[in-house]
Amino acid sequence: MTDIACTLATQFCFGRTPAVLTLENQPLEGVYSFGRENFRFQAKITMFDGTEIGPGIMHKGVEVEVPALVEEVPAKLKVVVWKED
Amino acid sequence: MERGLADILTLGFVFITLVCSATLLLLWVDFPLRSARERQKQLQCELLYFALLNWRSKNSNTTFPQHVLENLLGLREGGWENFAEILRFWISGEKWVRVEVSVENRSWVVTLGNRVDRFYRSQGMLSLLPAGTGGSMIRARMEVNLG
Repeated sequence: MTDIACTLATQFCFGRTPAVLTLENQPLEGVYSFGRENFRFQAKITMFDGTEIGPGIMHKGVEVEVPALVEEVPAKLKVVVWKED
Repeated sequence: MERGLADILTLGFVFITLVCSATLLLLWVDFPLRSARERQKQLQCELLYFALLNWRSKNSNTTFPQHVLENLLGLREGGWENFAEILRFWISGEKWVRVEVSVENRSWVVTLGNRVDRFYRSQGMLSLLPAGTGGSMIRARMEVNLG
């Protein structure tokens, strides 16, 4: 599942400019289908000043955290993935 | 007596086979997990490199590598005082990070944590246009190591 989380983090971060997050039309919660399997995911962005963008409560699952930028502000993107029952 | 010895040898062989197969099975199970963990670190290193490459301060139009280059060439003083703090925020939980920007024989290096044997490296040559050089491009190298 770490692979799925890495794939999602890559999709978020490699938009128009690498490492710069474009938040328009970007769902921060959803389902990612890989073959016949469905994985649920949540993404949260934490800015350097402590501001958080994303779901209030994060589900427990496999986490991947990567450095990123939101416009010019340093931020971290955390992607949590878990298996849908 | 001979029969007893044969039984002990058979049991010993079965035991050794079991231990070997269990070890191989555990290694096989751990292999994809290990490679996934490494992929995560590789992605973090790659994104840290690109984040530094595209990072510009709020009130300035210069990017981070350009600013460092201008400092190295003596065209500008200071700036990015909280760089170590931001780097620590970006790579929290990682063991070692090293950022280097170099041009000709001058280099600017920031290191956090103790060096580790296994680490990932993202590097590139940048063509930068520092202010005050009369519009001439300067080739600089930026390298990010994350362990």
